[in-house]
Amino acid sequence: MMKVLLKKQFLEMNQALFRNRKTGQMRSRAGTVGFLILFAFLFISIATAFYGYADLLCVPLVEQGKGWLYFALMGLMAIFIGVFGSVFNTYAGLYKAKDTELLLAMPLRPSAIIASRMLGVYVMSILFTGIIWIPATVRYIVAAGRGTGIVFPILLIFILPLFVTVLTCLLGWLVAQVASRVRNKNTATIVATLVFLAVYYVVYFKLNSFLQSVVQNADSVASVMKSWGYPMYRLGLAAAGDPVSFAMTLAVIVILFALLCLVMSRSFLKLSLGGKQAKAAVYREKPLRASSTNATLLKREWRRFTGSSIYLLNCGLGVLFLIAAAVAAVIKADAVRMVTDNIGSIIPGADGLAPLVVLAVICMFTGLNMITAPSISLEGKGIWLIHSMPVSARQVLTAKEKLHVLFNMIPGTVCAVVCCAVVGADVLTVLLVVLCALAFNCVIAAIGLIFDLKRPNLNWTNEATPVKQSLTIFLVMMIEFILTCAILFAGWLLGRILGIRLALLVITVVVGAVFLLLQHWIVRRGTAVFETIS
Amino acid sequence: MLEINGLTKVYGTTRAVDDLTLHIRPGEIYGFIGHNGAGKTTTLKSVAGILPFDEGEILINGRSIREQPMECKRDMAYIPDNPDLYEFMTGIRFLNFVADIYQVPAEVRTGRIGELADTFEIKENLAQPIGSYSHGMKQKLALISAWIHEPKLILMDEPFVGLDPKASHTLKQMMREVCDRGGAIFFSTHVLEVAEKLCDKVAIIKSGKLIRSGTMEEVKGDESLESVFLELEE
Repeated sequence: MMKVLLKKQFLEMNQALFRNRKTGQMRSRAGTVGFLILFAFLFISIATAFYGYADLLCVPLVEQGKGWLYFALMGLMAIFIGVFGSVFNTYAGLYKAKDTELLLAMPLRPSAIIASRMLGVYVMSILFTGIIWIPATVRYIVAAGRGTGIVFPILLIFILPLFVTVLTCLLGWLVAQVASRVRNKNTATIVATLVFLAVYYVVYFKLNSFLQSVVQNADSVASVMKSWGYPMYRLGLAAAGDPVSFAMTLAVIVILFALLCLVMSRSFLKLSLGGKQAKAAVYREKPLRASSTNATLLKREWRRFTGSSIYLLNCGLGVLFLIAAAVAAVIKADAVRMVTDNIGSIIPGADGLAPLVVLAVICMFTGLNMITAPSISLEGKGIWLIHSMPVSARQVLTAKEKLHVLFNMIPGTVCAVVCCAVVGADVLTVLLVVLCALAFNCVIAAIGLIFDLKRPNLNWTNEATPVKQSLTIFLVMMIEFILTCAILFAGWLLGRILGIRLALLVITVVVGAVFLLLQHWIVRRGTAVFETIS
Repeated sequence: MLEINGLTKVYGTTRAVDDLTLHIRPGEIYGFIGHNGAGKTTTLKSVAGILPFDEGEILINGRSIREQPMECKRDMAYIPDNPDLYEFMTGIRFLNFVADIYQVPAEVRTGRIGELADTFEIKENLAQPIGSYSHGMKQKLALISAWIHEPKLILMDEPFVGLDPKASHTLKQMMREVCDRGGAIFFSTHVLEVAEKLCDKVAIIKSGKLIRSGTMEEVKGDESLESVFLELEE
């Protein structure tokens, strides 16, 4: 039974890899290999970045005979990233999967269902912790040599994620406990996630200086770790080759995991199927307001977007970055001005091109808001509704694009105006930055829509599948990144010859033309494609 | 009201609906019966303008669903066998959304929604998200949404599934009222007793082909609809 459940779990996790969602056919071997290569490239790229952090700590600490402290610190980072990476999937995957009732109706033990889902969390944890722990181990081997002790950090590649699984499942369990008691679950999830993200980014931005101060004050950090972070001290010793500490670490993690399994299997039914419910809202009749068809369709998209914490957090977080960038530019105005005034000495030939950097920042952040990219797939099995109504495909698709553009336009414009004012750009330049950002925004909206029209996935059991685990999202993100770099490069190239204003004008016209071409496809072909999606 | 002429829908090499011709006049409740996979849902979805078809023509009040889909859809409502509604909306927001799409005047919709929700006894639940509704409640909500704009033609795929006996009785009354006002109902069902008591006309479909249609008396004669159906299916 467990084998069947695991097969189903992995099939759901990897369906984009092996199956074409549009045709339902298995992918060609070349397609699967291509996808795997892309994934490996991404993993190695990020792991290489973490190798840089490991490099900062490894040699100085190993030379001081504090290899354990190196592993304890890298372990902390791995646990943090592991929990951060997996926690978003955990709650939805463990308790909110749509096939819970279907599986419970089958001759399967609830413990087997939760175990199969926990294994999914474990695999995700291996990926997220591995992205730090593997480069950390490699760096240690390079610095300390290849003795028999290296077997311990290698084994921990699989043991540490077990601990991360415990933490993420515990966090998911807590979220499920809270969610079963509050009426507005969506708001609670969003607030909790934002708090978590805020902590994450504070840690991220302070990491470099923190690591440097650790190296400078290694002795005091080591004594603090021994007294206040004893489990991490033991983990560090275990990774550095102490067999007793390894045995202790393994035992503690296994015991914690066993306890978690017990708690989860006991509470799974209650949390998955409702249990204690918050008091249901009672309808009080009041006059209803009418809207035009287009406004109604836009409202529908807005409600879908704000009604799903997964959708909102994964495809709308860029707005917070835009606001943060504007606030940071004002607070750190002097530092920003110092950099932009001397930009020519940082990037050759970039004198006077500071507004271009502002544009690139806005493009990068608005590009994170890929609202249209999962919007067709999110229609799900309810797509019959819109098909049966007297609305044209064009109206439906336009509403999706409109939400994307409007949601990005306001904070994007505010950020552009504030940042341009800080770098001392004139009104015409500000206007051109705003227009160019708007054109870019429209292009990303159109690209997201086209990709999802071409590869819709209506048969999901969890919203996370189209929003987080879709190749469409990944491709749109890549295109957004490449396009931003292209704009930056073209702006630098043209700016040297034509000056910043003309350069921005040319880029705006080109990006605008690209949008018109994409829009032409959507109107001519995309609408017909949408009508056939069912 | 509804003219289906030579409707053919092909999936790959399978003719899901094969040269189907049916005419439904105002005032008629038309039952559509057949085994699973016979082509009932495909026919209903084609009429609703959801599925494009390969051959034939579908006219609603003389207008082609292919040529004038918007005008046709304004005149009708469709309820599928499994009401997958917008779970991110509350019941009342969903009904207001449907009322907006069909441009039901603001001063009319509040009263009409209240009345229909009272009839199906889900008024108190309208403030709750659809995601928290049971199958029966979703079915009731889908029925209310279909009735909001007072369509002339109502298409329903297994409308009685999931409804409690009282709601089933109410629905039958409402179906009759639509026809009394000059509208028409075209619905599929596996409950032959309901079809026998409720329908003015009935059509039996087998493997995509219409094998018998007409008034209830013409189809079943002195026998029960069930025995005729089983005979034809063999």
